[in-house]
Amino acid sequence: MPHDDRRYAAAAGVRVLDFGDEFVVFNPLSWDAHLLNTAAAAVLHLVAEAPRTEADLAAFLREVLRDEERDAADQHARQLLLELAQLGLVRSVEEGSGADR
Amino acid sequence: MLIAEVAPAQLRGELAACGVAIDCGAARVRVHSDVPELADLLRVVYRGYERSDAAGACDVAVRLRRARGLRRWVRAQVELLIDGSREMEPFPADTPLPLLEWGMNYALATRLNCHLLLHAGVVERNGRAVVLPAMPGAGKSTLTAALALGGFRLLSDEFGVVRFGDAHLLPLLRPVALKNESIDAIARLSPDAVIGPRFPKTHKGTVAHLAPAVEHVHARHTPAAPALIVFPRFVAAGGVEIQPLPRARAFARLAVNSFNYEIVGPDGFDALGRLVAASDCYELRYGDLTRAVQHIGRLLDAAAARG
Amino acid sequence: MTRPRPTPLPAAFLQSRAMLRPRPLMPEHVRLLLQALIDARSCAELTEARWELLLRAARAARLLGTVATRVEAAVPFAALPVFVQRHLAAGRVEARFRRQKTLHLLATIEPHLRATGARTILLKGAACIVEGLPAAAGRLPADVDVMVPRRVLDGLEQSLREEGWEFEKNDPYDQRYYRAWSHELPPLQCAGQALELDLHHAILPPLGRLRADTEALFASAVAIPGTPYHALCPADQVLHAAAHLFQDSDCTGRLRDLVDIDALLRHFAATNADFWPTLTERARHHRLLRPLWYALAAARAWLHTPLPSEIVAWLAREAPPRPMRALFGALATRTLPPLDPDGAPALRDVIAGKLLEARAAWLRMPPPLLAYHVANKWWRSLGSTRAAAAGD
Repeated sequence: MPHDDRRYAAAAGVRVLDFGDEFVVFNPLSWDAHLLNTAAAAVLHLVAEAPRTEADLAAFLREVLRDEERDAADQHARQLLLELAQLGLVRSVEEGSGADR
Repeated sequence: MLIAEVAPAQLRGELAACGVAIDCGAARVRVHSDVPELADLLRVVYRGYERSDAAGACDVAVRLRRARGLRRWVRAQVELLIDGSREMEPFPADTPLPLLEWGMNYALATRLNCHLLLHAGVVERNGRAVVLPAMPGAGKSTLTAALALGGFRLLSDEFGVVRFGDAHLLPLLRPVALKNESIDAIARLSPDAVIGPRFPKTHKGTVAHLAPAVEHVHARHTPAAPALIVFPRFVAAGGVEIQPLPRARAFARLAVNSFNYEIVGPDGFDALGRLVAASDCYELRYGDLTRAVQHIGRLLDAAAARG
Repeated sequence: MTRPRPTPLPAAFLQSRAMLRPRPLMPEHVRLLLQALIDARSCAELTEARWELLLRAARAARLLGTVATRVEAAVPFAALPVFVQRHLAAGRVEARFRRQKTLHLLATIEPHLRATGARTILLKGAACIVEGLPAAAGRLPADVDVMVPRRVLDGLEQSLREEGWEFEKNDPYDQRYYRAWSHELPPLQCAGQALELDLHHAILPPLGRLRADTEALFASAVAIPGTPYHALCPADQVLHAAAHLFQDSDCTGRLRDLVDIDALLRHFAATNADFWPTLTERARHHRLLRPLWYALAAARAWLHTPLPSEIVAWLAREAPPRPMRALFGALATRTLPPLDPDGAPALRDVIAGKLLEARAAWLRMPPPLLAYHVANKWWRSLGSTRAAAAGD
């Protein structure tokens, strides 16, 4: 699969409520609230801290997933990023300029 | 002087002239009316409220009047103006109080966007709030009324007013609207309860209004800290069943069942998050009011002990 | 050949020909509202009773957000009575909601607009919000107005409908009316969008008595930096607002549109050196001199918009005939401000509103079409009355 070098960051104004197993996230553009599971919330937290590539996230997931799911870490990372981007919670960041898409 | 203590003719005169101000706690409403029966109805269901200075600033003014033109005489109607504009359909002239109460709900729901407004009953004990979100068929008003008569302080049967920032619940105290069988159920539960006349032909069936207790009226400016959220569900002849509800689910159900969650945006999200985080959340199925009240009391004590 | 300079006119004559005076005995709620808009600092002196009337009138006029913005900039918030803080906070919250929903809607349809390959012009509130104009502060738009060239409109409509956008008005008569005789499509709605989308191909009805030069509007449009959108050039923005206020609307409770015009005029006068000459020149080109006259005269009279002396002279020179001014002034006086929150509308005001509504319709369509439209509306309203009576 082609290697995605883009970095992703959380959209400005995203807020996360931690309720243990589930997380509720505020979408700053649509003002919707989304229900996220632990993996998605963890990924969102990571990209909120600093822009990450897909590979960074796959590495993180590999560490936290159970053995049998580790091989699918790349796929999970890609899927999660896609969903979070579709919801508008995550955006890809241009290298250097720091501007959006 | 309480509204119940004002002479009927005097109250009728004030209603028709400068209006009567009702202080509900989080908002003040001025009521005007040329319908003479309304004064007598207010003296019953708003009996514990002070006849406060009508000239003092109010948040909204509502005017209940006889319809103009043909409808004044033929199948007579009454209509409600909210700040001068007619935003609700008229009602038959023999149901002035239900129209006033529903109109006041509408007026308040659209004007208090400085707070998050949940569609919920709220009661309090020992400074801690119980929020009872309204689901269809849940019997929220009946249960709220039973709690108010069972040692809890009533804040509201319709509006959970959540303050931005600390997510404390603010009273928006008004008579509790009871429907159909609930009226008898509450009357049986508490024979001393003051319930206004029944209005049989409304679009929700028969409606009557429970007057808030005088002590609760006095306390209407006292907020309550979040502690317990109970989603009630009435199942006739059923026992009491309690299920904890994951907080994220409670958040979602409260947001969906709110008057203005979409409008208040990030402040509402934060306030709701704080309310839910600070509360134990449960679903409660019940068939018997008294037992439901007891169980809620126990849940509240447990929540208070933990928090 | 240059026109001879006009001889200076006596001040009194200037005043009477250059103004649309508000009614001398103005209702208190109107006076308070105008005062708060013109000079928000004066609100610091208000009693609680006056505040109450002002806030309720502002809400009725959909100006609560604007009043909140101006008051909060002029008066320390903590010094205000608590109930005032409540309502100003509510106004701020509501304006923030409308602003965010506008941005959300635009973000959602942006790919469709880009796909047309044509210049997209944002109109009215959407333009003010995206441009970040002061006129945007506290605004409460009801919908999002976007203008595209006629040739791309059908394709755009198609792609939006495929995405889930639907017309609110599905009645075939309404559809035909909009498409054949109007400058915009019926409003479009989409699940998850709080506001409606109004797609325009012109700013005024194509068969009406007043028509702007649509090509000139597009040609002079100004790109909004950092966005794929354009806005009308400053003069055209004012002219659009002026035409919309007094021609293409029924004029009842439209004080907020006049507030927009005042805000635009003040902003552009301060930021564009040749704004005023361009304004009258564009008005002449678009043949919108009369609406401009009414808009400037009303803004000056009601909101004390500062106008340079050459514009005041222009107003005096170009004034409509006295009877027209008097009639129009009287009608506008009764219908621009919001209704009294403590009363029901006076019969005279209701009639005045109806007259202006009729005039707007008259201007929108040539007489034979107007007759058809009116007959059809009446016929359909009869039908709905009958249906309601049957269900009673």
